[in-house]
Amino acid sequence: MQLFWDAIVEAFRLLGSLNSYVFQVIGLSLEVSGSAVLIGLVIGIPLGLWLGLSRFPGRSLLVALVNTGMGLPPVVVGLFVLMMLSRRGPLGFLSLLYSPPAMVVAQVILATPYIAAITMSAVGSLPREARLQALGLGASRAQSILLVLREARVGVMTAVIAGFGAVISEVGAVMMVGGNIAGTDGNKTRVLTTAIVQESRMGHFGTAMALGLILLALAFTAMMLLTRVQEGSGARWMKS
Amino acid sequence: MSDGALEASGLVRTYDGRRVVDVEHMTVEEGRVVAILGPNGAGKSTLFRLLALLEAPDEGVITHFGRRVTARDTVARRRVAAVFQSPFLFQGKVSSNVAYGLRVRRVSRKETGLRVAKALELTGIAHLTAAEVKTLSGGEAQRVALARALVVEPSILFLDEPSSNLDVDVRRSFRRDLRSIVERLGTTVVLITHDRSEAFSLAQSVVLMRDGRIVQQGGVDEVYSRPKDAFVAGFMGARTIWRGVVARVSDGICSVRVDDRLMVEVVAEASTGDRVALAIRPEDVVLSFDASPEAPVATSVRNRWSGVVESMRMAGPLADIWIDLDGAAADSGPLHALVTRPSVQELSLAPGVRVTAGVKATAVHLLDETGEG
Repeated sequence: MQLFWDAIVEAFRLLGSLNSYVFQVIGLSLEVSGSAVLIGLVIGIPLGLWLGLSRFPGRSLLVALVNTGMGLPPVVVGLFVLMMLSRRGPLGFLSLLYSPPAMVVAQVILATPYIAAITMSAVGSLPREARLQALGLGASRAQSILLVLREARVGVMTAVIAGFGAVISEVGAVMMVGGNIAGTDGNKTRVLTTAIVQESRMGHFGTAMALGLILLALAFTAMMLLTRVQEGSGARWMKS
Repeated sequence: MSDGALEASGLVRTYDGRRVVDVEHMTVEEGRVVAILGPNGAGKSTLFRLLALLEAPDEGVITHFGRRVTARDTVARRRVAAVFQSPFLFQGKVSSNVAYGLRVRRVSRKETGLRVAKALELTGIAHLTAAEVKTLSGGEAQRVALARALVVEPSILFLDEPSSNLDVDVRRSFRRDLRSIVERLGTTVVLITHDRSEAFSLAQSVVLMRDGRIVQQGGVDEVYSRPKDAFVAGFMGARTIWRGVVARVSDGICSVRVDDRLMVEVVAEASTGDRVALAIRPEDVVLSFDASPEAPVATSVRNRWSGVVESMRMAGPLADIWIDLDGAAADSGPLHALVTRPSVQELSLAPGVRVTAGVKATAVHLLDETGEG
C-alpha cells in the first residue's frame, strides 16, 4: 500500500509544481484528440446522416461496417496506419510517421465510426415525417437535412462524447504511429496515455499516477462539458 | 387553357416491384377542395407525397398551374405546403415552428413576425405563440401544423388525414374551423382521408382510390348519388350490395330479380336481361311493423319486403339492424338498416322480431356489375 500512497503524494507534488513536461503532454493530448474528433465530425456526421436517411442497395453492409468500426482494436488501427505511412507504404512519401498528424490520422479512424454510427442511430430514430415536413414547408434538400440534424442534436452530442472518449484514452494506436517521442523541441509525440506507459516502465509510478489522474480529470471535465451541452439541448426540449 | 391547379398524368410509383400508385389522370381545379378517399393501402399517402412533390414518381407528369414540376424543383415546392396526419413539430416554441417555412424562404424578420401572428390568429391559437410545442395537446399541435403551412400562403395546401388522430370533439371543432379557414382563403386543397365524413365535411370533389388506381372521381354529390360500382357504393356508405338481373323495364323503373322471391324496383336506365348490382344505404331503409307487402299502403315506397331481425347493435343515438328478408338467398346477405333509438323502442326491435323494410326506388343505386363488392 505504501507504493500507492507514495505515488499519490508524488502525483499531487507534480501537479502542484506546474511541471512543464506535464503541461506539454496534456497540450499534445488535447491537440491530437481534439483534432481527431473535429475531423471525425466532418466525416462521421455526413456519413451518419446519409446512412440514417437513405435507403439503397448495400446499405446494410455499410451499416455493419460502421458498427464494426466501433470495435476496432486501437493497436490494429495503429498497425494499419503505421504500414500506410511507413517508408515502404503507399503514403510513405508524406513522411508523417512518428508525428502528431500520424497520431491524428489513427485517432480519426477510431473516432469516426462512433460518430457516424451514433449519428445514424439518432437520425434514424426520428420519424420519417421530420424531413418530409421540412420539405413540405418549402425547405431545400440541404435545409431539410439541417433540420433533421437539429432535431437529432442530443444524439449527435452523444456521438461527440463517444468519439472523444474513444480517442483520449486509447494508447495502442498513438504508441505505434507516434512513437512516444519526448523532448523539449522538435517532433514530440508523447501524449498522456503513452507517457503513463513510459513512466510506469521506468518505475516512476508517482509520475505515472499523476498523469493518470490528469487524464481522468481531463476526460471527466470534457465529458461534463459535453454532457451539459447535451442535457441543455434535451432539457430545453423536455421542459414542462 | 386548363384551369387545373394540379394535374397528374400517367403517374406510377412502384415499391419492391408492386405498383402502389397507378393513376392515369387526375385534375384538381383551382380553389376547390378535393378529397382523395380510399381504404388503408389504397395508395393515398404515396399519391399525396407525389402530388406534394415530396417524392418522385417512377413515371408520369405532374403540373401545378400548368407548369410541369418535379420533386427536385424547390421553387415549385415553395408554392405548396403540406400538413401530415401526425404533426411533427420542431423542437422549440410554437412561433418558431410557424416561422419555419418563412425562414427557409429568407423572409425578413419583421415580415415573418407579422405573418406568424396572422397565421396563429387565423387558426385560433394566438394565445399559444410563446408555448413550447411539448406542452400542446393533439388538437393544438395540429392547429400549429396548419398555421405553419398556411403562413407560407400556399397555392395548393396538401392535408394528409389532418384530423384522424384527434378525439371526436376536438376533431369536430378542428374540421369546422378548417372548413371556415379554407372557405375564407379560397386556397386549393388536396385532402387525403380514409374517412368519408371528413371528405363530406370539407371537400367539394372526391377521388376514390383502390389498389393504387382511381376508381371514380367527381363532385361529392355525384359520386355519392351515382357510385360507379359496388366498391364506391360501399365506400360511400352503402352496406347492402345485391346482384341480379333486370327482369323488366317500365316507365323508367327497372325491376331487378335478386333471388327467386326478391324483386327490387329501381329508378335507373337499363335493359331487360342486364346483369346488375344494387346498393342500398342503411339510412335509406325504413322499418315498420310487419304487414303483408301486398297490403295497400299510402306510400311512395315501391320496395317493401318482410323479414326477421337477424341482429342489431346500438351505436349511440342510432342502431344498426340486420334483417334476413323472406325469400332472399343466404349469399345475398341481410339488409342493413340504420334507425334511431326511439324507433327501436317504438317497433320493439330485437333479434327474431318480424318487420317490413321499405326502400324507395330512387334510393336504390344500380351499379356496374363488373365492380367488386
